[in-house]
Amino acid sequence: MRKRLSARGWLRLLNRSKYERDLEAEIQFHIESRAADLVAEGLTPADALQLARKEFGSQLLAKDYCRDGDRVQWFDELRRNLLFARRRFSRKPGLFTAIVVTLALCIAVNVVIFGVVDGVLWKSLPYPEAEALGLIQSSIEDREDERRDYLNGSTWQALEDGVSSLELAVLSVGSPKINFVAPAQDMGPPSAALVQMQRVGRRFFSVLGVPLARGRSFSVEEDSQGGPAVAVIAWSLWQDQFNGSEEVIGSAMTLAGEPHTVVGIAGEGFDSRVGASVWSPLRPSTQGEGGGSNYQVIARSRSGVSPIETQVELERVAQRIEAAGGPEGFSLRVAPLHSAESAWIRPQLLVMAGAVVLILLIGCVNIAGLLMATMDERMPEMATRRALGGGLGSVFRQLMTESVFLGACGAALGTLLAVFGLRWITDVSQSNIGLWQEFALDSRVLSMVVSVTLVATILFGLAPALVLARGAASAMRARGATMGKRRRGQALVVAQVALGVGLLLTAGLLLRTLLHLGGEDPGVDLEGIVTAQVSLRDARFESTENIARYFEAGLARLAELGEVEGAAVALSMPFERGLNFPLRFHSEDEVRVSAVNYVSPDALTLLGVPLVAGRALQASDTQGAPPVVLVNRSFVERYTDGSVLGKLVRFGGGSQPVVGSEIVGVVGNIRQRPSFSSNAPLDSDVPTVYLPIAQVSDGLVRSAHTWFMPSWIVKARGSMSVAGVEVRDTLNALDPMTPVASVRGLRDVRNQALSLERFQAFLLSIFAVLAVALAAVGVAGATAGGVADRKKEFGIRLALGSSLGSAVARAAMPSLAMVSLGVAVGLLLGQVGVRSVTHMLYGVTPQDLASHLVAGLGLLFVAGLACVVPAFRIVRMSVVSALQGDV
Amino acid sequence: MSVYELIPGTLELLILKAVSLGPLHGYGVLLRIQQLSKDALRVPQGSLYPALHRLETGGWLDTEWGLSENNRRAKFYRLSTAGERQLIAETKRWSSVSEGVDLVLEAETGR
Repeated sequence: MRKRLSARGWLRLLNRSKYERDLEAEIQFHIESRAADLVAEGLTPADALQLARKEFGSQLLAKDYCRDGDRVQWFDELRRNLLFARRRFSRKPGLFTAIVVTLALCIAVNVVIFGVVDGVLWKSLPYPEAEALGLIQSSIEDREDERRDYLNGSTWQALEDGVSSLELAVLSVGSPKINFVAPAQDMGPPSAALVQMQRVGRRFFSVLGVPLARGRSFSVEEDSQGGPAVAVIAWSLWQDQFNGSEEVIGSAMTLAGEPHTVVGIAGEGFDSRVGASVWSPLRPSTQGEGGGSNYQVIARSRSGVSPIETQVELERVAQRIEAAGGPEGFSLRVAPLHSAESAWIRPQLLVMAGAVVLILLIGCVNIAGLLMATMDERMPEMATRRALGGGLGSVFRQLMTESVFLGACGAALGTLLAVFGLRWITDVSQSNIGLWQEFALDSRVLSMVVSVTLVATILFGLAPALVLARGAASAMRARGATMGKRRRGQALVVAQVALGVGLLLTAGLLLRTLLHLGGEDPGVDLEGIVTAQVSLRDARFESTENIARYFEAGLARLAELGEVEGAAVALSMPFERGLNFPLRFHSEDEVRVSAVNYVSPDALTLLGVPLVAGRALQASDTQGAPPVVLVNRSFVERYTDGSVLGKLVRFGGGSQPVVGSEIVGVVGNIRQRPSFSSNAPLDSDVPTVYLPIAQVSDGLVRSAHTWFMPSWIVKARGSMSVAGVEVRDTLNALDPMTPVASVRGLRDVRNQALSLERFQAFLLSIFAVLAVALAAVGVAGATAGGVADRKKEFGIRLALGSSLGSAVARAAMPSLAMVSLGVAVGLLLGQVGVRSVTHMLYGVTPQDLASHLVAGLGLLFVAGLACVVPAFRIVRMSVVSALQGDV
Repeated sequence: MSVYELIPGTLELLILKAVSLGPLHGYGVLLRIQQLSKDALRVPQGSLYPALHRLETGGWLDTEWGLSENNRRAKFYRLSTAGERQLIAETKRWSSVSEGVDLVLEAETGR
C-alpha cells in the first residue's frame, strides 16, 4: 500500500510534541485495558499490569515503529540533523569559516564567469524568435576555415536579388561616433554632442523583428543613393534630447553637419548591440565603401523554409558572383547570428570557464580534505550511532545534511560576492571589451548558483560521507581506517597541486603575452602624451582645405596653452588600427596594402618616433608643393629591397595616372593594431605610410573619416590630467559643433587596445592565485592531519634520541613527496590548459621555459611551506603526553 | 483450537474490516479481530499501533478522542471514505489471492 501524506500527517508533523503525548496516552490506555481484562480473569492488579506490559512488548520500540510508520520521519530527521550540524559547527568556528569562505569564493567565481558565459554565449539575443536570425558568411575554397562576416556591395546586391528564403538586411560594419545637434535649443549658441550612429538598410528593424515605437523605418527611396536624409532615433535619445515629444516625427535634427528628418523611434530598450542611438539609411552601393568588404548581412529565415533550400539558393548566388568575376571557389552560407557574433570572445570565455571549474574542483577537494581530517574525532560518534542501531543510511543522511548545511551557507555568501562580481564585470566588459550585455543576478544566474552549489556539495560531501560511513561500519576499528585515509589525503594533495600548477602555468603564459604586447618598446614616447578625438565625418569637413584650416586654428590655440609643450594631429594613434589603403609604386602594377596615416608635420617628432633615413615632414609640404610621404621600416622591409628614398607611390588601386608622392624619409615602427599583416592584438611590424595633412586628397580624407576619428596630440608639461582638461575646453570652445570625444593618455590608449588580453590575464591570474592558495591550505591540512596521526610515533622517535630537525623533516616528507609529484603531474596535465590558449599567445611559445619554471617552482615553494610549517608542530609537542595519549 | 500468527500484510486489511463495523479504540480493534476470528488469529500487540498510525497517516482512518466503555479517555478509529474504498479494493485482492492459493492447494496429483 502506497501512501501519500494526508493533511493530518502534515499537522502531526508540525505538532510533534502533541503527537508524542497522544501516542503515550494511547499506549497507556491499551495496557491498562488489557490489565483490567486480566484482573477480570483472576490475576492480581500488579501481576496483571506486569503481564500486560510484557505482552505489549517494548513500548519504546512500538513508539519508534509508529514514527517509522508515518514515512515522514525524514522531515523530523532532517530537523534533528540540521540542529546537530549547527551545534557541531558552532563548536568549531574555525573549520566552519574555512569551509564556508572557500566554498563562497568558489561559488562566486563560478557564478560570475558562468553568468558571463551564459549572457554572451547561451542566452538568446533580445529579439523575438532570435534563433531564426542568421549572419551571411562568405568563404573561399582552399581557405574553408577562414569565414568572413564582411561582404562587399556586389555580394549584397546578388544576395538581395537571388535569395527569397531569407529576409535579409544589410548594415555597415562600423558604427562611428558623429556630431549630433538637437533641434531648436532655447538657450545659448548651438553645440553638438557625439552620438553613435549605425548605418543600416531599410529592412534592419523588420529582420530583427522589433517594431518601432513611433513612425516607420526607411523607404526604398530614402535607402537609395541620393535619397532624402532621414534617421531613426533610440528611445533614450528621444527622451533625453527631444523630451519625449510626440511631435518629433518629421522634425529636423543635425547629424554629421547635415539636416536629417526623424522618421521613427526605436522601441524602448531596443539594443542593436553596438551602442548606437541613431540609425541612418545605409544606401548600399557597389562603389565607394561598397567596393570593399564593409557590409554585414543579417538574415531571418522565413517560416516553413528548410535550411537546405536556403543553402541551395546561397550556392546559386555564390556561383553567379564567381561567374561575374568574383574570387574562385567563392561560397556563401548562413550562420546563426548569435554564435557568429560571439565567436570572437568564445575561446577566452571557455578558458575562463575551465579555470573556474578547476577552482571549484580544488575548493571541493580542499573541503573534502578538511572534513575528512575531522574523521578521527568523529569515528567514536559514528561507531556509537551504528552500535545504537543507526542504519548506514541514517549515518549517510546525517553527513549529507551537514554538507548541504555548509553548501547553503557557502551559497548565501557566494551569491553576495557574486552580485558585486557581476556588477564589476558588467562595468569592465561594457566599457573596455565591447560587450553589450548586462550581467546581473537573474533567475538564470540564480539557478546556476543552485546547480554549482549542488555539484560542489555532492563533490565535497560524498567522499567523506562514503569514507565515514564505511569507516563507521567497521565500528570501533577507527584506527584501522587511518592508513587508508592518509593515502586518500595524499592523493588529494597531488590533485590539488597539479590543478594549481596547470592554472598558474596557463595564467603565466597569458601574462607573458600581455607583457610582450604592452611592455615592449612601443616605438613612441608614452610620457606626457595626451590625445583627444574628434569626429570629422561631417558635411563641414568634406574638403582637405576645410580640415587643414580647422587643424591649423586648433594647433595655434593649443600651442598657446601653458600646460602644453607641443601639439600635433594624426589620423590614427599608436596602438590603434590604421586605415588600410591600396597603393602602388610608380613603376609597378602590383597593388600593396599599407596603413595610411596623415599627420601634422610635428606629430612624429612629438611622439618621439625616430627618423631613420631621409628627412622629416615639414611645414613647407603644403598643398601646392610636390607631394611627399614618409614610410616606416616595416614598409621598407616588406615591400622594397632596401632603397626607397626618391621612389614614387600612388594611392588607390585604380590604373588612372595620378601624380605619385615621393618617399622622402623612413621612420621607425610604431606598435599598432594590425588589420592585415597579422592576427596579434598589437604589432610593430605594420607597413605604414605617413602623409602631410595638407596633401591628402579629398577622397582619401572622406573614406578615412568615415571610419576613423582623428586625434589631437599634445605633450603635457606637467600633469597630464590638467593638460587634458585644458585641451578639451580649448577645442570645445574652438568649434562647439565639433565636440571632443575622449581625452586619454597614450598609456590608456595602449591599455584599451589590450583590454581583452588584460581582462583575461587579470582574471586568470586571480584564479591562479586563488587556486594556489587553496592548494596550500589543502596541503597544510593534510600535513597537519598526518602529524596528528603519527604523534605517538614521533613521541617515540624523540624519546629515543632523534633530533627535532630530523623529526620535522620526517613529518613533512610524505607531503613534500606528494607536492613534488603534484607539480610534475601538473606540468604534464597543464599542457591541456596551454593548448587551449596557444592561439592567444604572442611573443611567447607554449613551451616557454620561464612560465613552466615559475609555475613549478612557485607551487613547490608555496606548497612546500605548507608542508613544513605544520610539521613544526612537533617542536611544540610534549613527548610525555604524546606517549601517554591514546592516539 | 490453535492460535495462528497473522500472515504478513493482512493486519491492515483486518484493521480496516474491524473498524468498518463501528468506531473502535486500539485495544478494541485487537479484541474485535480476535473475537471475529473466534480467537484463531492473534494480533501481535507491538505491531498493532504502527499499523493503525500508518493507516491514519495515509488518510484511511479518521480518529477522535472519546470515552471508552469504562469512561477512560481513548483514541477512537473510524473508517474514512478513502478507507472504505481501500477496504473494498483490499478485500477483492485478498479474495483473488486466497482463491488462487486454494486452487493451487486443491490440485490433485497428476493423472
